[in-house]
Order: sequence, then C-alpha cells, then structure tokens
Amino acid sequence: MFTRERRKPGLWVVIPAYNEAGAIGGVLRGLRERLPRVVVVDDGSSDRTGEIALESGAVVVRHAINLGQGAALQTGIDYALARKASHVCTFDADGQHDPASIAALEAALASSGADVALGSRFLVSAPQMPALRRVTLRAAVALTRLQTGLQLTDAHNGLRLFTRDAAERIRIHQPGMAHASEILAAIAREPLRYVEVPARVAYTAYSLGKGQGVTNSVKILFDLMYAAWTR
Amino acid sequence: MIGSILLFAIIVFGMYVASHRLGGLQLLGALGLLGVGIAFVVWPNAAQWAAERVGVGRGADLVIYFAIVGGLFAVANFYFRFKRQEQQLIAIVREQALRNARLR
Repeated sequence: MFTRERRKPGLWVVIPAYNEAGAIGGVLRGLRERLPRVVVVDDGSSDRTGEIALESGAVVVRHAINLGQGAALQTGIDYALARKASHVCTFDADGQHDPASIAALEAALASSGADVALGSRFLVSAPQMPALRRVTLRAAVALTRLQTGLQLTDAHNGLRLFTRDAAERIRIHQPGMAHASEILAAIAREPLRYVEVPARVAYTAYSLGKGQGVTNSVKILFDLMYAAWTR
Repeated sequence: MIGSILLFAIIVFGMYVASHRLGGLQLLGALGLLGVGIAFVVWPNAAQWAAERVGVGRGADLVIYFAIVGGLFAVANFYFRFKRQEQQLIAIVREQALRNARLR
C-alpha cells in the first residue's frame, strides 16, 4: 500500500474532508505532482470523498461518523507523525488553496527558523473575497489578537505548515471549526515561533458554499467560550 | 383531585430518579425538589407562606422561579454531560480510524 516515497521521513500533507467528492480529486491531482505523502481524513462523508481520494493515490483515514474539522485534523496529524513526518502541512479539501503555496511555506520556515508557517489571505490582494466574508474574517483576526496576543493578519486560514516538534506540541481538542483559534492559542502558549506567508485563495462558488458563513462564526465564538470556561 | 394527580406525578418522578444512577449532588438536588414538591401539594398554603417570607408576594410566582432555576441547572447538567460524552466518542472514532489505517 505504501510506496517507497511514503516510508521516508518528509513533509506530509493533511487534508480533512467532509463531503468533498466534487473537489477532492482535483486538489489531490494538483498536490501529488510534487508531494507524494498526502493523507486525507474522510470525516464520515456520505458521498464518494474517501473512494475518490484513494483512487487519486492518497492515504485515506476514515472516521466512522462525522466529527468535525478539528477532530479530522488531529487524526491526520497523528497519522503523519506516526509515519515519521518531518513536517506537517494542513490543507483544505475544497480547492481554495494553491498547492504552490506549500513551497512558499517551506521556504519561509527554512529561512526564518520558525516552528510554524501560517498562510494569510490578507497579505495578498484578494479582490474576489466577498465583502461580508472580509468583515467576518477581520473580526476573527481582531478577536484572535486580543485573545492570544499574536500579531496576525489572518485567523481562520486552513493552510499551515508545522515542524514535527510543533505538530507534536499542538493538540486540537475542539472538534468543530473553533480549532483554528485553538491552534493559534497553542502557538501563543507554548510559545512557538511563527511566520505568516502570503497565500492566495481561490474563491469559487463551490468553496464559498463550503466555507464558514457568518452564522457559523457565532457557533465558533460559543465553542471558544465553552472551552475557556471549562478549562 | 388535582392534589392526588400531582402527588402521583411527584411519586413517579421520585421513582424515576431512584431508578437512575445520579451523582451525589444531583441526587441531593432531585430529592430536595421532590420534598418541596410534596410539601407544596400537601400544604397548598406553604408556597404562599414561603413566598411572603422571601418577599415574592405570590406562592405561584415562587414556584415558577424555582422551576426556572431548576430547569436551567438541568439543561446545564445535560449540556456538560453531552460535551464529556462527545469527547469520549471522538476519542473512540479517532482511535478506530487510525487503527484501521495502520492495518491497511
């Protein structure tokens, strides 16, 4: 099952996917030209996401039921670490990230000596970004700055690159979308050195439909308050 | 008539509580609620008497306030229990997923 490439330590790409049959094939084609180690965590999809990912040559780890993106990410990171990953990259399944951005993240880590590289949509001009989404994201950034003290320009971007050590030190407990804030809180707490890297995002009708709406941000806020209260 | 119906309901509730394993504090709360419920049915003026002591005015209002607070505690209790079980479920599903992946 595992090709020789996959046995060697190296960068693993972790893709959490829930009902992404329409996009996952294209995403994996784009990635696998250069990156042989890709694990798709099929988060209990009811469509053919898992099968398509397997046919496209990725490793597929399947949750029996839908748990949420945070849980899927942690499963994928655990898998990558067990496969002796030297670096772990988290990547969205809906096709909004550019595979070429991963090279930019790698370069940024190498040149800065940081532990984590974070993709930022706000370091590039993004004329296609819908106004409402821009406002929501800006609010999330402001809240994250307040909460963690990290001077970031983007807060809920799924594109990240961790060194092995950083991936081991960050544990995601939030099963849902609040994991993005949780990761940043962990970076601030450890503390881990981080660097932001401009990352262009393709807003297609498909990815916009799948993305985080304004109503969902209320749920994220609630999850975070619950986590803060019970910790 | 209504008194016996209420008493019957309270006794059923008591049996329901007794048949489920509750934590010490929850059991104490449930039994306290049960006792107050029985007292208010047996002595209808007790609620009025207690309301006047705490400055509420009407016995019915006092009962409603207690019911609201009790309800909030019950909801919070269920919510926290749900969250704990959610974490356990997540741990099981993730463990199983990783084990299956290793087998392949």
